[in-house]
Amino acid sequence: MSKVSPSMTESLLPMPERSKNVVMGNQSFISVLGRSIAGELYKIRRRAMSKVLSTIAIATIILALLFTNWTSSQPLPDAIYMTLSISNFVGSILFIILAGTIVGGEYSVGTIRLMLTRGPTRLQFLLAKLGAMLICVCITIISLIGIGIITWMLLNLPVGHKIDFSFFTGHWIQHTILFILAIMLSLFTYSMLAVCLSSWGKATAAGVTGVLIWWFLENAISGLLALLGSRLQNAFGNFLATVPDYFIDNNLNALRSNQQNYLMGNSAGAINDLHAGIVIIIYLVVFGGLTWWSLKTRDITN
Amino acid sequence: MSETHTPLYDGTPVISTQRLTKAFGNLVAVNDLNLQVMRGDVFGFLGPNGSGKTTTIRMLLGLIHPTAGRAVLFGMDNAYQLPAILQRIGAIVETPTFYPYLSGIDNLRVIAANSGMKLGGTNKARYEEVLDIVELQQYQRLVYRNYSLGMKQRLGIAAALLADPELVMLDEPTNGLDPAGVIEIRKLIQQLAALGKTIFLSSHILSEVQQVCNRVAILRKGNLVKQGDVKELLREKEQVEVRMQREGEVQEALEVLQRVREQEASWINHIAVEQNALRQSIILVDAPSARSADINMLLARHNLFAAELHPREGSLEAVYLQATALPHQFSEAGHIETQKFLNAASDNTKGAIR
Repeated sequence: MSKVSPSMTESLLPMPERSKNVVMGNQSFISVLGRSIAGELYKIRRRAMSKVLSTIAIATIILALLFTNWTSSQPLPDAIYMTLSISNFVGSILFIILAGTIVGGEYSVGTIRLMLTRGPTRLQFLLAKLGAMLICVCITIISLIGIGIITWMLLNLPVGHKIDFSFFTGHWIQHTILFILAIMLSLFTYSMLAVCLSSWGKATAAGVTGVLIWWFLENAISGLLALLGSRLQNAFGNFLATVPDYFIDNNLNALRSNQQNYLMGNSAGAINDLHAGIVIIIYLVVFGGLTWWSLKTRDITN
Repeated sequence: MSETHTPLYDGTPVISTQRLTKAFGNLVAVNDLNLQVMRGDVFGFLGPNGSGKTTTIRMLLGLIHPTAGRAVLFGMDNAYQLPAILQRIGAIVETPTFYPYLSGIDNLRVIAANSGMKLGGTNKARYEEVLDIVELQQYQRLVYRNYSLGMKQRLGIAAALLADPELVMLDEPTNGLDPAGVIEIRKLIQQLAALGKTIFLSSHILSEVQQVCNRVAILRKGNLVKQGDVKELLREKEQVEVRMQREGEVQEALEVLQRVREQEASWINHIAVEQNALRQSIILVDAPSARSADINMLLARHNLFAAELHPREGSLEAVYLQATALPHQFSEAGHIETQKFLNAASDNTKGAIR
């Protein structure tokens, strides 16, 4: 309703009252979007697939902690870092599947027709998907950290190990939060790519396999360009060697590595946070824009 | 037409399309469509497969973008004010599709969230109400993928009615329903119409459309070939059956009627002959039933006397078949076109003379 319609010259039909059993909510853009996000989360919650994926993630964390704790007891912060690293790896795969399914599934089942004839705009439809994904990413990471901590406590406290809270400093909290945010951003970026590809391909498979291919190609091309750069040893070689600095995976890795550097003393990433942040934001804008453009201009004919 | 409802007309167009056109590459699916659906109409949207019905519905609902022209619903252009329009419409487009992993009621909850309705238990009574209307109350907890085709169709209607819309668009709503289900849907449409809802019904079941709709439009290859009041269209298809006292008078009566038709009786559209079950020749005059007496008088003026004169009601099927240029049912039902009959009779006479 943002534009002035040429039909404003025509008489607008007043809307009759609805049945008293129909309770309408606020119709502002944000309220409609909020309800659409709630609808998306409800669908995700009721899917058997979400439950299976969550179980896989939880089981992986518990098994990994069991295994490491069995070999040698580790302090709580290390358990948290390990939980986060596993969450990043397992979560990436699981969220790619979930994101591909919640968008591609709408096309393959045909429910997109149903959703787009109910009132929300195509932009709201897309934002609802992304909003729901973002909320899922946040809830998943926070829950997995909680599960990691509880598992560590169950494995260590009964046998007499105590929690040494000396790590719990302002510095640690700051970098842990940044590390968590970097992992959330990483999961969301791949989810966004899956949303984009499954929307373009109108299928879950397009999103899931597309992201996996992208991932594989980025790594393969990064290695190839680095090799070429070192062989050529000239300006063009230097240029080729810097190209991977603009790849998604390298920038997301850098964001995580830079925090791990503070937390665990690992070596820092070759790319600084500002560069990585800007590159990832550009990717997100491009993926979002492409998805929005395909959705806006496309005829829903399936 | 005994069950035709009385529409709550106020002469206001709810749907108005102006030269609405959609082309997919070189294929023009809908061409220059000017459609008018008034408030309170039960509007039948007819046409053979591939005539552009679903494409039109999709354009009205904003699922596909028109190549040219525009659609105005409730006085708003759907290219600019689609969300406001969709809030006033409940629609089924083709076979209803829902989330297969959700139960019937869970699907309604998701749809409610996307239809501008409040979340939580606020609309519980409404879910129960629409499920009751389509008789799915006892299956509301059943997962959608386990629904039968008829149940899926009924859930589609429940979803369309959920937000109590003023315009209900139903694309083949009786697909997959058993005869009892078809009757239920017919009753439901009549109930909705009685409540003042405007119904836009796309269907292949002409008898159903004839029973429930007050206005129809017929599409052929994307072009609107007929639009109007059902009663008016049926009146155009009324016939008068004439059985002569003697079989030998049929040819003479035909000649008289043909001549009169060409000279003065422009109200006679077409004349044909068919044989009834007793193998008696019946002259079928395409004319309003009110003209029965005139036909009798015309024949009597030439000393020809009908043994029986019966008005025959027009059918939407006849209107549809003629509009969509399909082979006329008369040919298939053992009817003989007038000219062929006259020729055959003339040959027989010649044969007899020889």
